[in-house]
Amino acid sequence: MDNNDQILDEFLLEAGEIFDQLDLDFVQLEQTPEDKKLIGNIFRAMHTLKGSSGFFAFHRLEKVAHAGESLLSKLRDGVFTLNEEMTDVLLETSDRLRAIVDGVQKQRREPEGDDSALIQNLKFLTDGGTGVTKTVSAPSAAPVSPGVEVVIESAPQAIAEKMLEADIANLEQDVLEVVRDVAIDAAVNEAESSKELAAPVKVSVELLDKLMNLVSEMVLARNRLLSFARTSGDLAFNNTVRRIDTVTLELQERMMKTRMQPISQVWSKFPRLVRDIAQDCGKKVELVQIGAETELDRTLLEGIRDPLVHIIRNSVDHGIELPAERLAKGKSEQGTVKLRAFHENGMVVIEIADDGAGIDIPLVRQKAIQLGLVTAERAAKLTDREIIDFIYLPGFSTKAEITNLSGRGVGMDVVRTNIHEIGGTVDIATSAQGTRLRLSIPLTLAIMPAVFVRCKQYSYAIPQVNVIEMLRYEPREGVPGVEDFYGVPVFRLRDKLIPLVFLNYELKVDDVLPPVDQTLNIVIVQAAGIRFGLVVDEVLYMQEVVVKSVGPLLKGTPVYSGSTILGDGRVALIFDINAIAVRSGIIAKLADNQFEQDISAALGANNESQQMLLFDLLGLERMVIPLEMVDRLEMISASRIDRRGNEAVMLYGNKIMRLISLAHYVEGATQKSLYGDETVPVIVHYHHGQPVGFIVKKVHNIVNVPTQVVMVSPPQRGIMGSVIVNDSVMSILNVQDVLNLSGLGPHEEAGLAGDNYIDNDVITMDREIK
Amino acid sequence: MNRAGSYATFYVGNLFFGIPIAVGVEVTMGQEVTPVPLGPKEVAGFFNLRGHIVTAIDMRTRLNMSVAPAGTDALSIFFQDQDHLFALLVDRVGDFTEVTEQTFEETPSNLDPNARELIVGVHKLADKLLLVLDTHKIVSGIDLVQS
Repeated sequence: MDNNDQILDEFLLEAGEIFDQLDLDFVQLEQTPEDKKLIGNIFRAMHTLKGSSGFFAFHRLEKVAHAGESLLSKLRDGVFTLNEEMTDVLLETSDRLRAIVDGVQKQRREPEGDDSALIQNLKFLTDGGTGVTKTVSAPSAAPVSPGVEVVIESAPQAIAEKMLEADIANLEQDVLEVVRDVAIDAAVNEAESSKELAAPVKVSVELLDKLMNLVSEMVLARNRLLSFARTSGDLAFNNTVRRIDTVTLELQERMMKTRMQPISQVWSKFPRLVRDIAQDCGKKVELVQIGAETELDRTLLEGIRDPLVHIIRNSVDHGIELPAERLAKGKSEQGTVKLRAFHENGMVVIEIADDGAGIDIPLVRQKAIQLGLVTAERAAKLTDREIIDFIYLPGFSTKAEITNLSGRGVGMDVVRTNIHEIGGTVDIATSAQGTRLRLSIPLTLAIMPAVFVRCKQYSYAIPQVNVIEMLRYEPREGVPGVEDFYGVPVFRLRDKLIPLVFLNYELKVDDVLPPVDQTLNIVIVQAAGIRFGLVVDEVLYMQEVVVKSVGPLLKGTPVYSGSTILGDGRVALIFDINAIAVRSGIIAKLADNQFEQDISAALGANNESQQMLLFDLLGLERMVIPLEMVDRLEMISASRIDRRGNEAVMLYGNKIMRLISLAHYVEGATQKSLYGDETVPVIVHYHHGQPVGFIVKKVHNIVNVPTQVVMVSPPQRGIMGSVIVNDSVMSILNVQDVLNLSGLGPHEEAGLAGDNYIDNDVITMDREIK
Repeated sequence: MNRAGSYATFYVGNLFFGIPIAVGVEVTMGQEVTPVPLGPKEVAGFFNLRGHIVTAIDMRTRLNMSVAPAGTDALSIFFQDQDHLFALLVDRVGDFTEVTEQTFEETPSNLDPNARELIVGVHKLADKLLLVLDTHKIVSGIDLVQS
């Protein structure tokens, strides 16, 4: 019995693969009805099914497959050309076969059912328009064939004599098997032979998982061995360790490969899906697949299946307009849904783009106000992107659907949750020309890149997918540090307010928040729709980690998503950044207080500030230059400076950079010649694509400068005006003035583009001076 | 649980415990445990046993006993429960002991309720009492939602 069960399992597995392929082939066939090879494939698939079901005495399966096969044989032999009616019936056949096989899988025997209507249909089509005699005379591979064909055709007619029919079918099958196999072999010879060469072996998933575990253990043992080798002077030992190192690495890579499967495994169902939905809503939709060979971890493939089905259904059902509507808009009648997969930065990106109507943002906005999610005034201020975020809210979607909103909302919360669960992100871009969803998925769940941080004496891992940037904040005068926003500590980062979460405090390893005026190591992370800063004791390093389960006892502690084993054998916990954001309560607090991450609005219109770089010249301290004029900062050794005529120049990348000693052009500064071994700070500014270096005495830091500029009177050379920051006066460098004086002014430049550029520059200045 | 058989024995405070070696026992010492902030208080942390993540349960906390005096090096007794490895951090490990059905007796009622819930019964050995622990209850009885 065991043996039989095993054979049945193999049959079920094979049948599943056949059905997947059938779906693909049928839809493809509809587009290229003349493709003989394709029909050959389908025919062969049906035939295989019929043969196997005969072995197990699954009579329903056998009869349905047989009837389907008969129609296909006509198609293959060119008696008929495939039409939509035939496709429908054939697809129905495929579905019926699948349903029967599913039943077999559940009950371990063939389920009861009546297929006579379907078989009648198939027969009708098989006979349609042509007589039996004509079929018989159709070109066939073997001379015995016509006779056998007659038997096939006549047998089902005797529906009443069921027993007899079965007998004949059985009898005929043996003969037919041989005949058909010859024909098939001839038709798809190359496909067959290449398959034989590959000879794939089926290995159970459990075995692969076990092997994967062993490999990761080996990686850890290797890591420890490497640390011994570092301190050992034994050459032979070190060589052996190195050999183990390379072999382990290769083993790990190969092992990972076994878990990887092409995304086409999931995609293969979509042509059929798109076809069915499009037909249901009376639309014409083409599905384009690019990058189907892109590989993804097996477990992740399962995770993206449902979200993708959801998104594609949305695209076809709601995104793409009806043919008439499309024509009216000047689009082609047939809509396109484009699936694209590719690797990017160690992630797999899957894009689902349609050329439909896009998301109706005003309607979403209106709906959000209606549902009380946001006040009307605030909604008016939100960007389109922020408005789109509403569709991720659970419940938002269904309500929207009732009002016939252009879709998309349906189940988007589920999509996002599913994608987040496997460590991915979702991004939407939309316009009247269509909508594009972009899913970024990690390559594998088993191994992921992580940033290690230290809290007290322990290391923790933050999944790299959550990390935006890392920075170190040092308190300085004139730069606001940690501030309070309705009880949420916040930090200014490039004009954005970033809420802070103090990890030690959050994990309760510290009872009090640290004082605000100390150096902070901040990891800026993105999760649960917001960006926030995690304050840690130290940022350690980045490393690929093997993710392991934390077991059943941490079910009530969601801040950890897993654990990993470090090189020294200790265990480190991996954070779930979403859970930390939720736990810290910042989301709720920020929502209550209508938190605006954009600081410029919070500061108010008449209190605008601008970022400038603070630097010194000899004899003239506290100069500032608008940050947008600074492209790079360099430390340059005076020995690298060459002379070109009376200009100082140096090689900068593959360009020649003109060096300007600012002190020379700014009133009040003292000039000084450079010595050969001296290193000087240089502010690099790109002027019409050419680097220009301003030599200064010292570069400090970036300061926020109010836009209210105090004009200097009388005007001073090289200085645009002054600003007051924290009770001290700073002078703004007049870059244009300096460039003009040094002979790099607008007069030297020809061409409209150059003039425009300068005009723009001047306008900016005017605005600031006002 | 079969009352007769082999037990791995250990001490927590002045109590003498045993768990059946059928659940897969191994003893090690000197493991570096990574604590779990915000986790259940009984969970001392995690450590690595040949590539497997082991959840360490502090038996003193689990049994509602006072914290071990400083300098006591915790020893670990391993067992498997539902596909996951656990370790009990205990004060001292005893011998493997073979017992028979005859020495078994139901749990005495004067035991701390917290401990009684985990104890299947006692074996009256010649010189002391061996408290038989139910390993599954040690794990499943932990209140997960703590902070």
